[in-house]
Amino acid sequence: MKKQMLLFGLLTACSPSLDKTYEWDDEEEELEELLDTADLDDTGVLQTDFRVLVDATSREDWALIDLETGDVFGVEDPSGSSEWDMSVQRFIFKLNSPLNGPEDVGALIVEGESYEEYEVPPSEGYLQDMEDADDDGVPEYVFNEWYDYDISTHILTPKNQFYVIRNRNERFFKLYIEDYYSSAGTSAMITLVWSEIFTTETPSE
Amino acid sequence: MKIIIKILLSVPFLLWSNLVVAQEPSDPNAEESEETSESDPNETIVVTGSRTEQLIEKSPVPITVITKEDIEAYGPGDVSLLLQQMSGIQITNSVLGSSLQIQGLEPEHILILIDGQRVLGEKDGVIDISRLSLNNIERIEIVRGPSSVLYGSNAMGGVINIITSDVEEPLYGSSNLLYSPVGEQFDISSGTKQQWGSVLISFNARNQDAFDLDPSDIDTNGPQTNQMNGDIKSTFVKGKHRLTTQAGYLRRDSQRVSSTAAGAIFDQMNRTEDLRTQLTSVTLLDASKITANVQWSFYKDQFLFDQRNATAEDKFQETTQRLTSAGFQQDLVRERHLLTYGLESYFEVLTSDRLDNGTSDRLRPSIFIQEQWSPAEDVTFVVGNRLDYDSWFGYFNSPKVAVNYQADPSFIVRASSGMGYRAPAFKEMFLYWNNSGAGYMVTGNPDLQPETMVGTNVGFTYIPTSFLTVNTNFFRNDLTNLITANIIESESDLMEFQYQNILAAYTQGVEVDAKFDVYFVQLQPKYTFTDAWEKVESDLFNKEERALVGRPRHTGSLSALIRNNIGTQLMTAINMVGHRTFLTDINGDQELDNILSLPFTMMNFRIQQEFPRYGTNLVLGGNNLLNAGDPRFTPLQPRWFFLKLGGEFPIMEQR
Repeated sequence: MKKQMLLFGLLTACSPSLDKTYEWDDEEEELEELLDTADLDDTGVLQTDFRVLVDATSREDWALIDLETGDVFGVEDPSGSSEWDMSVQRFIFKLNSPLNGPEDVGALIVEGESYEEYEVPPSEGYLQDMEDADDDGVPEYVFNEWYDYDISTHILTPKNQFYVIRNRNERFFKLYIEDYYSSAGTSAMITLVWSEIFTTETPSE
Repeated sequence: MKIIIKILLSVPFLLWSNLVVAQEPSDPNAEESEETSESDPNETIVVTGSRTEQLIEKSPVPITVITKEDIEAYGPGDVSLLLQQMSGIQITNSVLGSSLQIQGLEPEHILILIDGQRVLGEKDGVIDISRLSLNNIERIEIVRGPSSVLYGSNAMGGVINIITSDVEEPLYGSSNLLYSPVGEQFDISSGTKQQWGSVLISFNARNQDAFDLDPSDIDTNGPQTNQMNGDIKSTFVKGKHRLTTQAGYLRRDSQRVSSTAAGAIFDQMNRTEDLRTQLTSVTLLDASKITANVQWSFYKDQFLFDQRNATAEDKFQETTQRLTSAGFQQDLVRERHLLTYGLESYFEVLTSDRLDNGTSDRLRPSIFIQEQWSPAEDVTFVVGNRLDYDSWFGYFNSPKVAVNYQADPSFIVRASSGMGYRAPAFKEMFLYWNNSGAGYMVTGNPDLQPETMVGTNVGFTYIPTSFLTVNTNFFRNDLTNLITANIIESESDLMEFQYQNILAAYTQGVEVDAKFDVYFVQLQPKYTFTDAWEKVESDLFNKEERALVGRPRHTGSLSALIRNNIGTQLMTAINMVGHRTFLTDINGDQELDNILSLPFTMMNFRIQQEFPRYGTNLVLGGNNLLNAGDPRFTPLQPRWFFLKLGGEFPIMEQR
């Protein structure tokens, strides 16, 4: 009996770990290509729409977005940083407003209008993220209901709407969420499209 | 010489069998000739229903026995393929493997044993029985109805006990080779039986290709598998003492491809290892038998999830389960009484990357007692109770009463009623399984309570002629605190399922089967009607009944076996499964609606030719001839054919 146990114990011990022997597909998603589609001219004025793939797959860290430069980055303490306008973790979007940071970013939802033809931001009506008011345990984020959920396929689809964001430097951007999934099907690899728009009182420089 | 060995080895234990079967006082030391000590070959002795030898006709609980001859006729393959063809129980295939339902009860309510030892590796309640090979199985006993009185947790719906073979020849060997376009299988066994005991060593290897039922997507609906397993069984006999040691090791790699609606593609691989050892001692005393055993089982599953063209969803997780058990049992025969009592204790440790707390363990000691009393030749009463202590949930009683009444030689009535329980599995309490690729997560619930059940079976066996046997069994099972995975409001972007106790559920129905066996033809029709409902709170004051998902109301099968006297055998098995209820959102209103799966019919055939002179046989077979199956609800391997060549030593003519 001892010999049998020894033999089979040996078999088990010798069994290679899949993690070590398996040839993983280590190809990463093509983040850079999308980032390069946004260009600034010599004066820092936006020349093309931003179309940025944001890696929001982390469940611990927030992906911070600077709408002016298209940079996506992370910092240790987002609540103390003035370098970002909005942030995203998985499916939750936050604005750099008093609930989440030191700035005063606001946003409003636009429905039933053409994103392409929308040129002038309204002067008021901007909302900010607020404390939980309906006791569901979730703060009242402006972006709380950006998606439709399919209960059968578990797919999140962006609603047919876009947003106007007044950023930390009082510049205005129109933005829509193009896709929650990357071309490889990864969830929380979010494609955002935005461009700067200008009020009639403050023409671009 | 062979006969002498057989007698020396068999006499005390055969006498015990006869003693228990007859429940008459006798001297187990008495010398008897082989003829008088041998059981009637037409009598089927079972052990699972009462934990000791018993004639199947005397069993007060419904038992189905699949014999070695059945396995040879309906094999090859694995236990799931065999049961699908001929057991009258429902086999379900899913990404978790092949699982079974009895009387509308889920796989986690059915205890699966190999020679009395629990089989490990439960995933979401499912033990994949397709990993259990058919080589060296002596018989499979299927006990329907609550069996917690003898086996404790998980046996509340029934027990499947796979009993392995012993060597009956001084020198024995057998081998089988199977080829099919979808896979190969090879097994070899060798053993010896001597005056001191016997040894049997066996090895099995098989592989099977993946299959795809929907070419429009990249998903495979059945995995590619490679498996090998080896077993050693030794029995040492000295006088009235028998010591059996068993060890078995299995390794199985399975691979599949899956995708999500978002377009993510995953290569998924599982490596499953299963190691079982047990030591069993049986001692015969005057009108008494003492059994003691020690068992140790180890199960390991490595799960690998590799996303193509990305790494965000890559996963590698390990799960190990260890179960150590020890037991003692004494069977006492006094006149018309058979008293069985014993102690048993399990210690289980589960370590998994999927557990919120990493590792959990539980201790489960128990004591059981059962009295079987035959006041007259034609009636047997059974009353028993088992007291289990679970280190997480405390004490549980599982009482049972049963009666077997032979109204006349052709009509046997049996009735039984018992209570059973199932303590929540660790994964049900502590799971954190985040499948963000597929858009859902499953979480455990530490507040779960054990499921309990009261089950009643009433049935009869009618034998109008020597060639016809009809069995009918009515059943009703009432469950409370049934554990299911329900959708809950989630703070995540994923749909979150959490294990919860639902109010109650019940299954009821009738099982009918017949066996028509005349000359060279054997016909076995079977039919089961199952009505399975759960009761949930629809609002604060009302309860609503909903159909339990995945249970067919109607299942039926018909198998035919035709033999001739030159060793040719033809077998056809047809298995029909009716509509089953599933839940999905049909109209996009974010509410789950009932949807019925299509009924399906499986048909298999075998043509076998024995060559007794050479100790070989050749089998040509086909499975799923009607190409039943669909990728969503019934992922069955499409039609496939095979050729099998088998050989055995000593050959029949020498015997």
